[in-house]
Amino acid sequence: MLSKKWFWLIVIAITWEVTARNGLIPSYIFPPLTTIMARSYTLLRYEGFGNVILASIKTILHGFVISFSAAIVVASISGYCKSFRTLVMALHDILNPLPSVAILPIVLLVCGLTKDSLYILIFHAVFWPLVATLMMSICTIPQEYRNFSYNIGIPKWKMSIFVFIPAIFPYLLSGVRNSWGRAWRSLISAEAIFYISGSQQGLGYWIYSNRAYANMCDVMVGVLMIVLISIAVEKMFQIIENRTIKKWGVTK
Amino acid sequence: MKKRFNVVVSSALATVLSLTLATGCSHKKSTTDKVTIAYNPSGYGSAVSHLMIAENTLDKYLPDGVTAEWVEMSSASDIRDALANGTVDIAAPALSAYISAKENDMPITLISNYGNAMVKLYSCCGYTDISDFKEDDVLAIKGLNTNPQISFLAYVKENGLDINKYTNMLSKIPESESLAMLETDNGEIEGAILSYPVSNEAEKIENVTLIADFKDVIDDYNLGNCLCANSDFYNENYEVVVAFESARDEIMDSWNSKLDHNAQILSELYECDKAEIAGIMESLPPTKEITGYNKLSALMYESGMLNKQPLSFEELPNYDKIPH
Repeated sequence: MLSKKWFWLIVIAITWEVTARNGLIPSYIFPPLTTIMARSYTLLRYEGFGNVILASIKTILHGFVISFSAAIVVASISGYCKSFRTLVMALHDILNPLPSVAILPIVLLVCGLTKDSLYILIFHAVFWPLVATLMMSICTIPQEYRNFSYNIGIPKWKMSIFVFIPAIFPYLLSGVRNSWGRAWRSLISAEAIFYISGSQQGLGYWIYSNRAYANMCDVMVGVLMIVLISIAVEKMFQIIENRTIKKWGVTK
Repeated sequence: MKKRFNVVVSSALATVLSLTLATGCSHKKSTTDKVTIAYNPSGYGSAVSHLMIAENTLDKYLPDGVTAEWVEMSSASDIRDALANGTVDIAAPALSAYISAKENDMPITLISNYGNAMVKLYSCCGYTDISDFKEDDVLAIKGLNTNPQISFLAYVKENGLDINKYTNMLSKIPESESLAMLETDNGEIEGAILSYPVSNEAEKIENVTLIADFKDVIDDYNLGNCLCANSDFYNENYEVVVAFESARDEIMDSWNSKLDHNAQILSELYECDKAEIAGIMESLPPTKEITGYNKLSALMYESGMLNKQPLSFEELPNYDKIPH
């Protein structure tokens, strides 16, 4: 039995295909879905499109690891130092609402047309929501957990791994999920707005360049890949959630 | 019963919504009282339009009750897309932009050639030849599928150089910013591909050297701007297209006979010396004839810009009406 979501996806796909094939939607706007899928296969199999996808994934992973590590360090320090926490929160209130693309001109001026600019944009997108979530989660660890851990005398490192991390994990997962979405959107936008010289161009650039050549089929292949990657990552988060916090009974 | 009814209504709504989204954005006009014309405010390839606006030439030829609205657009892709969806009726994009539009079934009709491009390659780090550029160097270019990019590609191909190596050097940077980067020589770019009149500014900078003038390949490949119309507009308002052609002819016919006057107008627009622009106008007058269409489309196909074998010039539906 198909779920309702799948039912609607199939309805949309059939509508798309039928209207595109009948010429109700011009092919230069929406090529038929089957054409896009066949083209995706050709590009992946024979024309090195996988390298384009890998370039975007590599960039976001690099940027994400840097931002995540920095957020952990900053959140940990702010857990011990109140004035530092106030400073971080003040900066968070100012910078978090800014979309990454809004700071692009400044970043380009400072770093130029290099990958560093992309990393800074990803950092901006990831760091602020993640650090805020982590700081909040550290503050919400129940005092009973700490007291109990001290009373039974477990070492601090064990306390961190077996008490604090499970306690903050729901917040951490939600923060990572939220910041990944922001980072992904920022990366694709930035790649589309400017491109760095070299052969390692990502999906945003792929969409931009194919738009320049009026090649809507390849543009749609890029869009489809972005959707598929987003769905795959979301699924991955769901699996992690099921195997951790749901299994531990932290959430239902 | 009620559930089934809901599903049917939702499906119908989804279909209507998707059709509205896909088709509702296009602007189709069956008869017109206004013709919208896009032009590049700073490119030499649009010089005919600049003179037409300055002299108010088009109004003399337009049918009664039809007015002209000129809109500025500097990106070839934006001009092409505006022509395809009907927000612009007539425009002069790069010929390469027309070819990519045609090969992807966009409803755009080619009318004639319109103006020639003037593109040169400059370096700011002491290079004197194109072969001096190294693989990790950066060459600034204003955009993809533009006359500078295609002329560079054609030059690389004609000189037997490695297309991949040189294509990977390109970085999209607006020409005014490239000029500033050349002047400051801060190591961000090693060279820039510039079109007139920005190229003229580059020549005045002390540390900048001219690496290549793409004039020969520009002539061979017919690189420049071509006059196009939205296909529906072309078919339904042909008298307006003819009026535009008449205005274009008047400007082209008086190109040399009123050289001094025309040069004065363009020199003010491009902020350059009158004698200099007069010299360029004499050596590079606009022409109506399309000459290198097949060569250009073959180059675009070979370099992967087109996914299928392009139509030949002779196969265009209105081939007989296009000057060649």
